[in-house]
Amino acid sequence: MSTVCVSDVDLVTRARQGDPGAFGELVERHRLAVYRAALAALGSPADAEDAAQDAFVLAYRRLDSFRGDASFKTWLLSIAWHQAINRRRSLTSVWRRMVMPRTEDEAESVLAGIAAAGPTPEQAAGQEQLRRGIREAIRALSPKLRDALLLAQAGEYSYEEIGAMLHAPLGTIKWRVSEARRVIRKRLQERGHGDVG
Amino acid sequence: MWDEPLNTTIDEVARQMTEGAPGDGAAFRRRVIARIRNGESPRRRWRVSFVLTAIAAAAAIVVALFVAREPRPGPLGPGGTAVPVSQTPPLPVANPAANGTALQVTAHATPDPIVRSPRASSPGVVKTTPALEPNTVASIAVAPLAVDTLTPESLHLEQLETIAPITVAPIDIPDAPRRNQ
Repeated sequence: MSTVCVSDVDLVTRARQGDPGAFGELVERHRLAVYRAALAALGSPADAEDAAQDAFVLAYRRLDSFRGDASFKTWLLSIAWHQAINRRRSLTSVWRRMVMPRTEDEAESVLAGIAAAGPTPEQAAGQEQLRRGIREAIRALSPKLRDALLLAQAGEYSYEEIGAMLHAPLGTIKWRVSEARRVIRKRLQERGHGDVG
Repeated sequence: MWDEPLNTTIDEVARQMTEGAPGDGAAFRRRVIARIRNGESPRRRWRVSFVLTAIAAAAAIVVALFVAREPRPGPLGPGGTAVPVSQTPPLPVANPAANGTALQVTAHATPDPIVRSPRASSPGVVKTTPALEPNTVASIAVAPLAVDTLTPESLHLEQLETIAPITVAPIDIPDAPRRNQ
């Protein structure tokens, strides 16, 4: 049976009745949103993929608790975010981040950025240096500000969905995003990036 | 002002930090379904790794303690046999008062009962070690210790006065029965 035009709620109903393909379709529809939320929380693609799988497995087990008050995506994202945060707090994740700093992909990113952007190598290098400074400043943000900024810019979620994930009102989420930008700008100025832009 | 273009760059970098997809979509879906069918617990995998890490750390500490406490083998002698490690070296101490000679420490050549030999459990392993001659240590003459005898003054304590025994009589309270009532 085709599931292209079937709503999430119908798929949930069919999955509850034991249709194995229905939940598979839900996984296919929302895997990107779940993965990117986990990536925003964890910063590591491998950890994010594990956390995304965990989130879907847990969601399947809790399908009976989905009442339809919010959309299935919002409900699923809440589970995914909770799973990712649990993983972020775990010792293994902390250890992995300590042992395997993201130096290789950053170096590749710098080279790719220099090769792709800017008319002159000097401008491209300057632009890439700015981007690297921004990346470091984002990582140095407090978890509340960083989570809000990354989720808002991921392009997968509305502010309402972010609010549901972070258990915060809409206004608070907007303020956190704005505050995150302000803190990053301030840190960039302190590091001498003030004349860039 | 340069806030607006910088905000745009910040947003772009933030978007790049959350870009990506979980590998092959179909493979991801298959893995999730397989885990559901196997009845695997969502948190089991990282819990297992957490527990394994703790166990490995504890095992490493135990091994380190064991290695640190194990006595080191002595140098290997001719034929691959170890030179005995003298646990309690004989120290013949001459009585200084008797003949006034020095305290003598002599190395002895008699083998100690505790001798490390190549393990019989590894018959295929033949250790080729250079033949070492036993150590010969000459006698060391140490001057005798001369200690003067101390003669402390005797302690003199004064006798304490004797105190007459104190007798205690019970206190008579006339209205005690009334209070109890």
